[in-house]
Amino acid sequence: MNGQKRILGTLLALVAFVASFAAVAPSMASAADYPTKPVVAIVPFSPGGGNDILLRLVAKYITPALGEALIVENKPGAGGQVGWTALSKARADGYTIGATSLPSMILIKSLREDVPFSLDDFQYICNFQVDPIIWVVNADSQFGTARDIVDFAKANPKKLNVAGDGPQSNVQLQHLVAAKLLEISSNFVSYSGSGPALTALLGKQVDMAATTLSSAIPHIEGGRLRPLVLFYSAKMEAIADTPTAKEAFGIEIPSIGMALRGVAAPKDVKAEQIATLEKAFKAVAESPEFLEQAESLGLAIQFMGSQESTALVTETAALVEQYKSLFEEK
Amino acid sequence: MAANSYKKELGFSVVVTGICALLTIRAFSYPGDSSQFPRFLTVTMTLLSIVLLARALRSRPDQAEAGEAEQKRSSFWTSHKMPLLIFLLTALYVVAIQVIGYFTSTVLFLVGSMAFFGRHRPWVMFGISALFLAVIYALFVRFLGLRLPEGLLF
Amino acid sequence: MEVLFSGIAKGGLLLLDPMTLFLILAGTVFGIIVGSLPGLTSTMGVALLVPVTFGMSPAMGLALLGAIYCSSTYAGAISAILLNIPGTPANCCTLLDGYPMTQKGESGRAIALSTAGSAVGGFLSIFALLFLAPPLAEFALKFGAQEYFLLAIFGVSVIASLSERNMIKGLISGCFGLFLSIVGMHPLTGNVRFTFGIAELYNGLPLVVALIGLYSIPEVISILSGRQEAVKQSRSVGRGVFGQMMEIFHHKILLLRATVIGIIVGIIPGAGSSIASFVAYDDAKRSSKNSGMFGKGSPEGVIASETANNAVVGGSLVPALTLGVPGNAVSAVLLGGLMIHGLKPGPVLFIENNAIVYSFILSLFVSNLVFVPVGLFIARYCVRLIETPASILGPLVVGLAVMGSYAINMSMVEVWIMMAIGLLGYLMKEFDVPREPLVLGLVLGSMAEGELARAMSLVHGSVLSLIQGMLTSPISLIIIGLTLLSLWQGIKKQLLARG
Repeated sequence: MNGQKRILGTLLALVAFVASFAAVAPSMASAADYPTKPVVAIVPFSPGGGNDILLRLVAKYITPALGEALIVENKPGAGGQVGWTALSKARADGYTIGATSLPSMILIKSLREDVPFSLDDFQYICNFQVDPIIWVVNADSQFGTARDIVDFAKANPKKLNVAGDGPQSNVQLQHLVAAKLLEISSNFVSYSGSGPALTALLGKQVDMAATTLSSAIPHIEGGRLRPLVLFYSAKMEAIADTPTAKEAFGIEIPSIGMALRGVAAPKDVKAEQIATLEKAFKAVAESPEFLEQAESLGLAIQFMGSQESTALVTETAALVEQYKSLFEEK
Repeated sequence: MAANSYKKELGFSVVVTGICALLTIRAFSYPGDSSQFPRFLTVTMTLLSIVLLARALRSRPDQAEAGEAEQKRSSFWTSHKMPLLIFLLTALYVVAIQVIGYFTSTVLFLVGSMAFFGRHRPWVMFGISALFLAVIYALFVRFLGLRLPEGLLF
Repeated sequence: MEVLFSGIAKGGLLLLDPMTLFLILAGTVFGIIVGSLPGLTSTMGVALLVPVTFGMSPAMGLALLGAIYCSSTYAGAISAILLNIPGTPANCCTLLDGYPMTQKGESGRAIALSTAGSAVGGFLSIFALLFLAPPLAEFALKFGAQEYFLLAIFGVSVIASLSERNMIKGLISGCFGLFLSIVGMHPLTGNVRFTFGIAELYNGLPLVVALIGLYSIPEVISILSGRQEAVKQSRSVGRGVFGQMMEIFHHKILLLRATVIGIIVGIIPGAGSSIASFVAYDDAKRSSKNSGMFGKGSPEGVIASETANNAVVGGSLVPALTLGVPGNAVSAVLLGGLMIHGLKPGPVLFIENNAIVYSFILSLFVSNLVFVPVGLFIARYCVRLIETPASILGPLVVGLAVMGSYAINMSMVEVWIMMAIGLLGYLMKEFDVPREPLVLGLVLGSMAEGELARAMSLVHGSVLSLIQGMLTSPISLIIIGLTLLSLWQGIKKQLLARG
């Protein structure tokens, strides 16, 4: 008995000791200069994916501009929902930020029920990369151009097998919008990511794939895959010969599925801290070494500041609202 | 003993059958094109558990032995005390992490449960807890840059 | 060929840098710690160290990451053998015989065998990667939705041999595992099922979290209740360990079969090391003369499982390096690491970055050699763990289980999931339901559902053309044949046992 009492006493003393430390700690942290410790960036996807590689690449170059390291923390789950929920609830002390990906974030919010985060829970720091959707086929495919695909799909409704990341993904949204405007119907088969979808295409399981440009680049450069059309208004350097949707079909198709990758912070983070972060990211986006490596990986860097990024979210949300019923039709 | 294990098996298979049946009902409440596989699985599980139930019933021992089992029931608490305590302690620990913070609650949990389950000198228990935390801190926090759960204190 | 030899020459030179060799050693030590702690997986180990490699040259950074991959895949066996808790999902089969060996006082022998088996499996698979990568990669692409689905079914057929003691309970356990794995979003329609509002369950029950709960918690209960059969003291690892390691060469055919299984499963994108070890274990059990010993401390079981899961390492890198298509989660992370170091995976990699790629492949050979002495050295101290008083070991294991399940996604929700599964695991142990079929089900469930749905969608919903497709594809036919063979042998054994 005595022994147990002694343990209890010791424990109480320990708690008191620790508590006194905790009381002192916060007051030391609220100094004016920011940042004084590494900033954590939540990536709501598994390591190795598009967002992950982008942020890790940024992390490699941001330390001089930020003054502290940027640590990438993967928090995958439910197509990003788990990570974004965590970001929306994170402490607003400026030391937790997170990767954003439009329109995926908006799709999750508008297609699912009971999503615990809202688009207003974030302050958008910047947008970093655009990753448009393309149609690709195997190098030796019977389809020479995007028009061939449309002709085939018109002649054989629902027979064209299209692999793509899904379900309810930005890729599928782009494909559905394109199919709707081109008045074709195809069979979209969801794979768990652009990687598996392209593998299925390489293995000739499907007729074509819809994918983000960055995932297809290595295969295009390796000569195994051929891009047919780019769903974006401007040409991309990596595939300069590929026609845009406007050139290929003569009609305007919104680049609604284009992945826009950036970073955001919880909404209560101080404005000065947001500005510091924005500046640091901007410095990376302008650094020649970073740009060179990003280019060699096929990442199209387009920097957009905080205000522009916020406007972009509203704009994209409206577009998604307009087209989301396409997911139901099938 | 035979009667005891008979009761145990019977109880187990009844519960399993019940759970499987509930899951099956739930599986059929989802849209058809999204629940074919769960439907197939839950139905299979229900059928298998019915076989299990039938087997348990068939192995019913003699009446004479059944009386013995009644006596054994009183020992439920003694045989299940340990698992219940461990779950309770762990649950308290996890709650404490979220409320008090990782380091404090880990020390409390480790020292508390070591003292509870065995007799050790305090310095041994604190030493081991400190070593554990040092390893966690060095490996997870310093080296791997993971963040520990955020509590009110440490 | 020319690319190959010039690459080997240039890569070899890069590798000779003492700093690189030191990094391999450091990576091995780190990998062994990560691998043996339940909750820290190979994927995490590699992902967490990618930023550390930023400051290094690509050859050094990749050698470090490769060393972690090799050694962490091996090290999960240590906790499986000593504590009955698998360090990674791939070591689940190892504990089936490894832990009974420990109970018999043969923990030293079990560790020696698993170390030697891992090294041989890893070594041979790197050979395959070095010399056979391009044709093997083409083979990987032949796997479409229907082949994956059949492969999953083949995997499920292993359940029968994992649950010989009680077939019905084993099957229920397996089905429940499959069920838990498909909880969440339907892979094609996106409808959410059985999640009860928990977003962490959208992609099925997280495997590693489940594994921690399923094995750690029941083990703590049994050591604290003193219900565990006394574990005999083992003579320490070290004495005569070399002779014990050589024992694996009494099982040359077994080694070869397990290696081939590991390489093939590794090559197939999406199938992982846990599937390889389950299949190899089942294969060893069926082909062994002493199959009655399996599950009671058969050295062959340990060898098969550990050889196969390390043979996955080389296999999984084949499509990753040659096609840019990762074979599993770890190689996906490694690919990410490659890209951040400015290397482009895919066909051009071997030409543009010839020296770096070959130095990476050659470094894997070194890693497979290095983890043998390092692993044995560390294991020598770990063996003492089983002598630790239960009242100290128990709380520590709980502490690690909580930390491990939190650390995977930094989520307290997953800690609660771990505890719920811990309760399930305790009840399963209590009612004599085998847990391994559940793990196998968890590994295979989403693959079975998703690929069947995809295969059906690809043939526009016609069952007839799906069956026709299966019967006209050689790979499908082979898998169907293997499944039938496995089932037939299982049934025959049951019949024989009943007389």
